[in-house]
Amino acid sequence: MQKRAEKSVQQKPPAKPSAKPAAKPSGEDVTDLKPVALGRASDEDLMRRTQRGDRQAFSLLYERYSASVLSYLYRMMGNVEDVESIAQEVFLRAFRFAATYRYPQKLSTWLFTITRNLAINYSRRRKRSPVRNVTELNLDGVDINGDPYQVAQRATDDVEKQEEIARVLKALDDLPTDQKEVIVLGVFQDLSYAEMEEITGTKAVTLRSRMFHGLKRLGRMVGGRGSVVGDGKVEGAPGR
Amino acid sequence: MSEALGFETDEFLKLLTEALRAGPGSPQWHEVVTQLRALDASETDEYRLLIRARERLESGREYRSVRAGPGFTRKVMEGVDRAGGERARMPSAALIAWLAAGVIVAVAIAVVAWLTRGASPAVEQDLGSMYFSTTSISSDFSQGIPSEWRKFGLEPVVSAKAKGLRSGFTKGKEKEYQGGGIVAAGGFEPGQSFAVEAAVRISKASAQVDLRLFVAQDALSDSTSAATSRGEFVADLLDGQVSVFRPDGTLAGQQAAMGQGGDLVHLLIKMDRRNAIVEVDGRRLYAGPHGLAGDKPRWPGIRFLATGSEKSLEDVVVQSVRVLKP
Repeated sequence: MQKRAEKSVQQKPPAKPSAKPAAKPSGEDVTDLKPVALGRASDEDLMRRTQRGDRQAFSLLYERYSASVLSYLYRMMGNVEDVESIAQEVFLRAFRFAATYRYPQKLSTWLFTITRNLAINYSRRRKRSPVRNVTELNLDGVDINGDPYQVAQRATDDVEKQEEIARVLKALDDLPTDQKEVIVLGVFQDLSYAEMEEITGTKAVTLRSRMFHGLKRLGRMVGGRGSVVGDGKVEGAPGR
Repeated sequence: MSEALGFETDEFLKLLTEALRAGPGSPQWHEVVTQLRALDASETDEYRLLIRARERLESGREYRSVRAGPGFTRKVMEGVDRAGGERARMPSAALIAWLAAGVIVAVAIAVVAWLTRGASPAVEQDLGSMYFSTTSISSDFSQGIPSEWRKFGLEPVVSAKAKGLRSGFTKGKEKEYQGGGIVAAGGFEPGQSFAVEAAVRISKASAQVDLRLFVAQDALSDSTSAATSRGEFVADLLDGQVSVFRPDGTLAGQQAAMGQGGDLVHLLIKMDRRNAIVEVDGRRLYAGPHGLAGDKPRWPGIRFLATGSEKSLEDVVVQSVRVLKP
């Protein structure tokens, strides 16, 4: 297991945002832009350039974070249409309101706060207005891994493990939203509890509890292979 | 089980969940495993359950991972460009706002200046092309002095022989200049443009009769016998020559020599708030600021300053006077 786990760590997506800048700017040097190539600049440096209207800097931030934002939204919302609408608004707002970003807050935290708030607002509107606007999907050419079995097949050659992975991923959608959210943010987006606390406005101890109980429920799915859980719902059933 | 393990205690929960989040190989993971191995096997089963769930999640991290395609990226960047354009235009908008405010202030200042000091040169040009078609007063004095006029000073008289209005006469004071005339009973507001025209018959160029077509800024009383009042703009006919005087007494514009031998001369003053034009038989002698106060009404009139014998007073007779409005 140890070896397998190490392998999984090495397989982290290359496009994962560089959440940790090389050096955090101090309060004194926030106005000094270091003469580094944009591609190697920290998120905070790029954001400072964005605040001065540098669209090239913002496009680099977009490259760094678009996959994270899109994936987070897709995991939470469950359909690509919502992802498209919200994600566009996320980046437009991030650019338009770049001035509201304050150091030394991590850019990922700031960005996911925007994303989460927009997703919540969007969900509320959708509840009030069930009529959906079917928009043109502009995620053309994207790699959407929405099928848990295909994901599981790529993860391992072990058929038994593939089944377990697929069951866990499918069960993830049946978790209560608060538990699902903390797992998505903590496991899939690699955010710390401090960051999640800032994004969600929920205390870290509560988040830890949600993480624990969420994983526990998913663990039962792995061990119980479709057992009935607390709410009487059969988890892991094919076709969800 | 939980209590024995301390799952529900915050410290261990924190350590466990952070270990799960950090993943195998991490210091948190190592510490948790060390602690759990000190416990019995039944306690580690649930832990393994959690670990397996965590591991499966980690293995399936690509689940619902989305990468933006060119279409989505293009759409976002177009939106950013638009947003950037709006941000870039903001200073221009602010600049335009400031310029607009400046223009408004400038216009306000100009209006105030215009109201207090008179019209602009453009208005002067307008006065020259203005057509005065409405007759306000028209008098030929065939029936005496109409009520539209008010007499002041030495009362002028209507000469049946000369068919016009001439200066009054006081016997015994032939060697003195005596003044008197008529002035419009109703004045004009300073912003009101008007024209006053006098048809004057000159039988003989005379230095004894000084005829003045004037516009005063003060109403003249009946007792006014002085030659002039303060604040008059004057077209003066004396000894066959027409001159223009501003209220401060300075000579303005050109002078014109009139014909003699019964010629009928038309003196014309056009006036608006700031400017005046003086013409003699269509010949312009003066065009420019009249110098009258901008806030006082205007009183057009005719004044005679005369000396000498009564007969000589008939050398210059006003046959008619008209006051016109646009």
